[in-house]
Amino acid sequence: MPSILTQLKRWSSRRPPDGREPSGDALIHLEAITARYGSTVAVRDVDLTVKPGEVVAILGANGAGKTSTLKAIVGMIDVSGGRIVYAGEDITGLSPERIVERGISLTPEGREVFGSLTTRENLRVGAGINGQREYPQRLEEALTLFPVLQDKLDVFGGLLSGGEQQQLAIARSLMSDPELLLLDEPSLGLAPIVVERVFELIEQLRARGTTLILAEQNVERALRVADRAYVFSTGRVELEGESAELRETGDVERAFLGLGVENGS
Amino acid sequence: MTEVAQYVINWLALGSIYALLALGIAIVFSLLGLINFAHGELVTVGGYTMVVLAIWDVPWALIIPLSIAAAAVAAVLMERVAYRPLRGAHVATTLLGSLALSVVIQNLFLMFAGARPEAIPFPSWTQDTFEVAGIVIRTLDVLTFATTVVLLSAVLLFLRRSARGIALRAAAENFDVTRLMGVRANALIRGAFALSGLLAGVAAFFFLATAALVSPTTGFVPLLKGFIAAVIGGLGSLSGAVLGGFVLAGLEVSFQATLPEGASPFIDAFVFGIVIIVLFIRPHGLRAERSALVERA
Repeated sequence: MPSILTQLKRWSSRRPPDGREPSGDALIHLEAITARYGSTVAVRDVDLTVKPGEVVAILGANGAGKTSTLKAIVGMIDVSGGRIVYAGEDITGLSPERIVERGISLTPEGREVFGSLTTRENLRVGAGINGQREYPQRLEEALTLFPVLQDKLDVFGGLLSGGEQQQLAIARSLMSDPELLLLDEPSLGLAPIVVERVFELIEQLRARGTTLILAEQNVERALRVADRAYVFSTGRVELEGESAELRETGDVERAFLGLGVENGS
Repeated sequence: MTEVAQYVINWLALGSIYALLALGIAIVFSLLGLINFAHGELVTVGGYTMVVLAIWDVPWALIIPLSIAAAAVAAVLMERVAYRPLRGAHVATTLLGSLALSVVIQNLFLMFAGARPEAIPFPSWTQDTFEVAGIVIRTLDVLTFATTVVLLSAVLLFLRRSARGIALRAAAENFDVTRLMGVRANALIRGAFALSGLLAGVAAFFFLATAALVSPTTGFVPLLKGFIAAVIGGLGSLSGAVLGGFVLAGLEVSFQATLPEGASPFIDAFVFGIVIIVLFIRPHGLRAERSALVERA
C-alpha cells in the first residue's frame, strides 16, 4: 500500500478530468517512474512512451526490471515516484481492476492459466464480470485467432501443453478487448517451433491494430517484430531506439550486460 | 435393521449441517487463506435474530429467511470491519485477528443479551415425526438433508455456470491474476463472505432447532465441527469440505451406535483420535489437490 502522503501527492498532481494530459500522440507514457517491492527498488526513473498501434519491445536480462515495469503499469506493484499516463489520464496508483477496465491487459510471465478451470472457463474469466454480454462474440474471435484452442475448450488449463497454455494466456488477455496488450516473456520455456507460432501471433495482433509492449529475452526475435525497443539493465533504461537501428549496431548486447553505450540514440 | 436405518438418517442430517458449516469455512479459506474462527458466531447471530423476531411475533416463514440474511450480512460486515484492514498481513496476524473477532462478538452478545441462554420458540412442526416401515423419522432431519442437497446443488451450479462463480474459482487458484482480468477483488471477497454467511445461516436453523437455545458461546461447537470437517476434506477444497462434513458426522454417529453407554462422554475424543489418524496418513486432507497453506505462506 502506498503511504497516505504518496496518495495525496498523486491526487494533487492528477489533472482535472476535462483537462487531458499533454502527452502528445502517445497511448501510454511512463514519466520517470520508480517502482519497488517493499523496500527493494525494482525500476528507477524509467521513461517510456508507446504510440497507438506500435509494437515496443522491452529487452534485458533476468532482473533487469522488465516484469516490474509491466507490473507497475497494471498496478500490481507500487509506483513510488513518477507517473503513468494512459490515453490522457493519470492511472498511477489505480488498482489492477480499474486499469484493466481502461483497456490495458497483461499476459503474465509463466502464463499463469487457471489450471483447475477449463479452457472455456479461463476465457470466460478473461472477459471479466462486466464483459459477459460480449463474451460469446469474443470467444468466437479468440478461437479464430487461436484455432488450436477449439478442440481444447473443455480441457483443464493445467492439462494443456506449454504452447497451448501460452496461447490460452494471450487469448484470455484479449477477451477484455484491450487497446494495449502487455506480453511478459511469451516465448519463455517454449519449444522453438512454438516460439515461432507465438511471434506469428504477435504479428497478427499488430495487423489487427493492437498496441503491444513485449518484454523479451529473445532479443533477435523481439527486434524483428517490434518497431522500437528499450533495453533495461538493473532497473534502468540503458538504451532505446528503432529496432532496425538497434539490430545494426552492436549496442544491444553491451546494454544488455549493463556495460553502457557510447553512441546510444 | 430399523436401528441401522435410524442411524443412517441421523448421519445424513448431522452430516448436512457439518457440510454447510465446513463449506462456508472452506470458501473463505480457499480465496484468502484465512481461517475465519468467527464463523461459529454467524450461527449465534442467526440464533439471536430468531429470538428477537419471534419476540416481535414475526411469522416463521419470514424469520427463517431473515435470520439467514442476518448471518450473511454479519459475514460481510466481519470482512469489512475486521478482515479487510488485515489483508496482506502475516498469516499469524490474521489468525489472531480472527480469534479476537470471535471473542469480541461473543462478548458483545454477553453485554447486550446476557449470559443466560435464550429459548428460541421454534414452530412445533420442527419436532414432528413420522413413521415409515417401523422407522421413526424426524421431519426436521428430512428437511435438513433435502435443503442441504438443494443448496449444495445451487452452490455447485453457481460455481460452474455463472461468471461470478467461475471468477471465484479462478481467484481461489490465483487471486492476483484474477484481478488482472478486471474482476474486482473487493466485490469477489464480499461475495465469498456473503455466501459463507448464507450457508452458516441455513445451518443455524437446523443446528439450533434441536436444543432450541442460543447463548453467546453457541458458536463454538458449529465452528469446531465445521473447521474439523473442512480440515478432514483438505482445507482448500470445496468438495472436500462437504465430504469432510459427512465423514465427521459418520464417525460421530457410528461411535454413538457402537460405544457402550458409559463411554458416550468420550465420543468426541474417539472421533478426534480418528481424525488425527486420518491426517497422519493424509496430512493435506482427503481431497486436497494442492497445499493452499504452503502456497500462501
